[in-house]
Amino acid sequence: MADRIIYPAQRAIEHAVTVPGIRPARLFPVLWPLWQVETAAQVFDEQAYEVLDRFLVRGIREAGLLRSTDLATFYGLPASLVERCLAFLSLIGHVRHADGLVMLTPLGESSAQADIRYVPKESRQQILVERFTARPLPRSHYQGSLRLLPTPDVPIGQVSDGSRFAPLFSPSAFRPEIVTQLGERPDRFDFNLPKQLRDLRVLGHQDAYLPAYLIEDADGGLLAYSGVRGEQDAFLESLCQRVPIVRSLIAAEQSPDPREIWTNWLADGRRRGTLRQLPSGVWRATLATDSFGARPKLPFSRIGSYQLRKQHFVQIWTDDAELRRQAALRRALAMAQLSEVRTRADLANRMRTVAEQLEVTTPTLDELHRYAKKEQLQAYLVHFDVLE
Amino acid sequence: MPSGRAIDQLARSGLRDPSVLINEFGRLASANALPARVEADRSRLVVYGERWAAGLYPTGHGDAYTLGFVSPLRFKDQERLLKAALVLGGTRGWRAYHHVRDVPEGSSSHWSLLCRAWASLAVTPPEAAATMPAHHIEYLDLLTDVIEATRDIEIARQSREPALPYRKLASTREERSSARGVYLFHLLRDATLSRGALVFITDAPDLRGRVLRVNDREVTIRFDNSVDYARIPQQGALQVLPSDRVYRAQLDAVEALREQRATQPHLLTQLVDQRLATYQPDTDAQPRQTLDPAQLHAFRAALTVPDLLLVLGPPGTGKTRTITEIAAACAERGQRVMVTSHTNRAVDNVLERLPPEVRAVRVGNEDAMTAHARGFMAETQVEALRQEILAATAGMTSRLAAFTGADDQAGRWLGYLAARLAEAQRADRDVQSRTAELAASVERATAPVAAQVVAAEQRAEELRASLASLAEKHRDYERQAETARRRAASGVLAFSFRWLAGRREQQVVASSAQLDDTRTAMRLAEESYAAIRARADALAAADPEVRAITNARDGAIAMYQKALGKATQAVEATREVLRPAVAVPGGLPDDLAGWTRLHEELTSAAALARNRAGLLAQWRDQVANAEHDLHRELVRYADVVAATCIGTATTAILAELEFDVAIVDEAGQISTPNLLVPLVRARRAVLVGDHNQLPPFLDDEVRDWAERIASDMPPEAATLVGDVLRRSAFEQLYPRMRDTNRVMLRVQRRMPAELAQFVSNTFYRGLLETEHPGGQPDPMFSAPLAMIDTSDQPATRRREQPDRSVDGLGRPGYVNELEAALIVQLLGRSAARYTDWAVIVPYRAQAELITQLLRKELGDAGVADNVGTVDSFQGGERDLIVYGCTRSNPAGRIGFLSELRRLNVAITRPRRQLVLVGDTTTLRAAQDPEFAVLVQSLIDHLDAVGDRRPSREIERLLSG
Repeated sequence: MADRIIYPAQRAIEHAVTVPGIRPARLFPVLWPLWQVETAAQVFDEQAYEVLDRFLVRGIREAGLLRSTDLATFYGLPASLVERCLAFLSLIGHVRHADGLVMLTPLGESSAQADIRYVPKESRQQILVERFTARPLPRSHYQGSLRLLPTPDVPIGQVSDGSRFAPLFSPSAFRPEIVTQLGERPDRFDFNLPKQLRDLRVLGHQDAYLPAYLIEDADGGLLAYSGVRGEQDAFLESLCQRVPIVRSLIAAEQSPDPREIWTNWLADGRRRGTLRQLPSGVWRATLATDSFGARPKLPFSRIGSYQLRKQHFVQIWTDDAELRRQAALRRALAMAQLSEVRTRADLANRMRTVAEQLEVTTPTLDELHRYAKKEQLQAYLVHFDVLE
Repeated sequence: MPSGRAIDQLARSGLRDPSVLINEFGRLASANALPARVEADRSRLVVYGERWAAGLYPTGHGDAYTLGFVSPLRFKDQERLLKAALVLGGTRGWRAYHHVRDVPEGSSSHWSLLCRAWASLAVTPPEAAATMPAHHIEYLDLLTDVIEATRDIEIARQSREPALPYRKLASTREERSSARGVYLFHLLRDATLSRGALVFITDAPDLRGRVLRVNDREVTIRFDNSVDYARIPQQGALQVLPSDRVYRAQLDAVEALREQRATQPHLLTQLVDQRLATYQPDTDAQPRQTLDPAQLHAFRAALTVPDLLLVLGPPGTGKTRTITEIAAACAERGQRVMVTSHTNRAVDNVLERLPPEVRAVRVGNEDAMTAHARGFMAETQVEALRQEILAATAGMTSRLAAFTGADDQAGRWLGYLAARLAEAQRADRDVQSRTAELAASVERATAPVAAQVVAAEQRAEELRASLASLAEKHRDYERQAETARRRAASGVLAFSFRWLAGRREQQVVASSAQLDDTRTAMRLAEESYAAIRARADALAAADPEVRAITNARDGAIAMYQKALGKATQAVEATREVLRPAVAVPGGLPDDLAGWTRLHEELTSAAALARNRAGLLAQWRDQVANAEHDLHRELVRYADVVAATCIGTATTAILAELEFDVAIVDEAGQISTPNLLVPLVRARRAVLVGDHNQLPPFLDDEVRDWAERIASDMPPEAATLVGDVLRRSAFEQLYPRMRDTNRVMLRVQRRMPAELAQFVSNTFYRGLLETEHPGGQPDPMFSAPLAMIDTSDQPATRRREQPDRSVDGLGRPGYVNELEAALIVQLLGRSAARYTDWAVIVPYRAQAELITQLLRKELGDAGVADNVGTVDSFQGGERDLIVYGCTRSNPAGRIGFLSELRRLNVAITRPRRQLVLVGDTTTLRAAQDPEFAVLVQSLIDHLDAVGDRRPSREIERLLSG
């Protein structure tokens, strides 16, 4: 699903269970409110001079040639060409005409001095601001892959695992100073506002919502996962600390007994299995081997993965180590397909994580290759073979 | 005031004191951050704190709220707030009371105010105007679909193209700027391969490169990386990679419109909705060449139209002349003009007629240009400009030569001048100090008589002063005596004045005597002063010290004068050196400060000259070497840039340029996707064309695609697809334009009147006028419009044959041997009588047959270029045109002869004579009713003013 708003909750849980000292208990998909602020700034494009423009500027500056006819005569150029070039220089603010004389403007002078043709341009960009605390989002949140929603409604079909995202509301009103003051901060670069952008102006703003998963720790702490590359969203986690309402909302959600939830789940699916809470706090449902297979059974790939229900999750498990190993290989092959996986090292890394999760030894790449051949899954190898 | 229920709820939640909650509300409200909702149906206000939502019921008196319930804040509350919320503010705080009676007088719940605010929320603000109207988006989507479909069809076709076998591989002498291999391939057969095409070696597909040059069958290819020569087969084949260059340009143009990046921001509205701004044509503007009234109108409108002008130019009405005038006038007004068209030929036609003072640059594929146009290419112009610059700056270079080398003449002179000025300054200081010394020395030497000198001088001075006052007094007495004398001469008081006059004369006499005495005394005093002075001088002169100092001073003065004399020489010499290079200050100063200034001025003039010399040397050096940069600048600073529509986008050199005006020729032949390519880069556009001539080329496969998808589309969309493909934007727009934004050129000067009249009536609603001198009649035909009618021949002889030589692709062709023979015989007789001629037929097979036969009759020269289908002749003209209809069958099947626009182009090419060859029986019986009507009127017209002749008669004449 290429245009999903965020990766499946599964991936956040898989990560959370590996964070030392964390006992993940519940997961809350939320839409965090932001302002997407349209800004304009002036930027000087640094261009190399070409031939005519450089020499005309030097003629004015160094040789005291202050009339276009003098310049044309001196350089042996057609007058119309000189006129056109001066018109261009005047258009970009490097020369001005006064009393029939051509003069360099301060911009023209400093350009000539630096031997860089500075061309003033307007730059437009969107700045993201978090609404509860009016904090600008850090640079990490400006990756093109990060999806934001313009309204608190999640388009149908853009969530791969049926997560229901709860939108958050902030009563604060937008003030342009939030952004213009950002322009004065020395660390503005960290907020995606390089210093080359001058004269920042706010042209407008609109709502935006950042899809995220908040995972509650048994101790009441919150882990945050958004589409930002990397593991956790540290910025969002720090916000969770600062915005009391988020904690209140989560605390207000009723929390039924997980054992009851998963007993019912087993019963609903007529699955045979046992429930156990791992020392990590995570619940595990160990199913009989014959629970896996072709539909309506659970696919092998579900082994080791998490089932979500009422904000709780359970790990689906089998005691059959061979089955778990197959599941690991299948998942590794699926990973090899991901466009973000570019190198063999990356794939090997991910395979190790999966193997750890499934409590099997890490398969080698060769093993993976043989498995794909044996299972007639060559199609999966197309991408595999081009990994660097 | 909390209700009992609320107190319970609070207590259960560990919040025993409602004032904690109320204080939180107060705090949030003071930060303008307390959200609330009015639930009008339940007459309550729900307020949302950081942990709790509270239901508040207004009291009966409207002075407070009862706290009805409290519940922890839930996610669903957030959703509700997101749907609609009031944000409460206020710095006065919230207060809690246990009883209504405790509420202070004058308090207000503001319930009705909140209800009104809530109600106003329900009125959703009007949807912000969409940035682009839906029908524009649909239009762009549709264009994208059409372009992508056309692209896919074209790419599939290109991929099917057979490989080009080569018989030999050779290395080259090509200039190499990298290790990439450049090799020459000798092809086995002629091939249409254009410069820049991407190719690969069929047997080694990883060996890819770009065609650098095509010279007949020799193709030079630059490979993408260094290639092992041994890997390239000595004989093999090249495969051309499909190119989507054209479609990428078209899609980019559509995207520019979609993202509202077009140079003319309202282009889409202008094209889709024909919403154009009002304007006044520039009625004062004068073209360089004479234009007829319609041409002049088009010219003046084109100069000021802010958005879009359409000029309909039927055959021979002077489109190119009009375009040239518009381009020249716009350029003269400092506008950057783009001249563009579908074909290279049309672009070059305009370019060739531009006046020399217009800076024009031709951009595009050199192979497809006329020789003249090649002269306008940036590459060619750079070379010419380089020569021009080097020649024009040669004089200045030699004048500045004195300032470049190590021998700094001006510097030496200035140094000499500075030294002389230093001398002069020293001498001047010497003079000053000697003068002071001298005064002291003289004073000492004359000390013995100093008191006498002072006294004598003083005495003489006093006497001089009293003499002056006496003389003044004496003049008064004389004036008074004179006045008294005049009055004494007559009048009542003459007597008393006589007395007075006497008195006054006495006074005059007395003062005169006194004056004389004083004068004498003064003379004596002066003499005595002179004497004592002389003594003092003698004392001084006799003093040895005074003598010595005086000599020293006089020496210093001489030195000073000598230094300045040399300085003057130095200034002259410096000026001599500087004068050819820079403006030099003139004149000679009066004082030393002036000399210093002059030295400074000359020094900076010399520095300027050296700067200029250095700069000029660098400039000449740069000009001799920097070829590529100059290219770009020549294009950027050109008045007129000429390129084909697609060329305007696929040439990197033009990428950054925007144009003030785009002049599009042959616009009737340009499809919308192609037209958009230049239009998105220009502020305004003048489209010149004729939709009664050839329409845009439509590929058969693309047409089939359009027909296939039409059935799945709403009828309007299907029509639009058809329009985009089959009709030019010009054709779609022209009928919908206001008269201010369209002009028809009306006077044609190409065709003889007899022919033009038919064309005017048939294709231009009778609006086309003719100015044609007529000409020498053809010996064979009695009128410039003639027809050889083959209907007099037996059907078996005049009959068409389907063409069997075609490869099965494309539409079936036909040949007609009788027509071919007649045409060849006719030309064998007449070709030499006309400056130029052409044979136009509808089918390529027939054209090939005629070419083959004509070569036997006339020899090879010039035959191939003069026989063809209509497509090769649009825009051209010839003295004699022979048009062979080719079709002859009993069923009246005339195929695409019925495309009247093609017929229009064919018959409007002649300057003197048109000869139609055809079977009127078949043509009259045409199944296409429109064509049948046209044929009938053509035959009527021929019979009235033309010359329709049975073919047997012509055969007899030709063979006789």
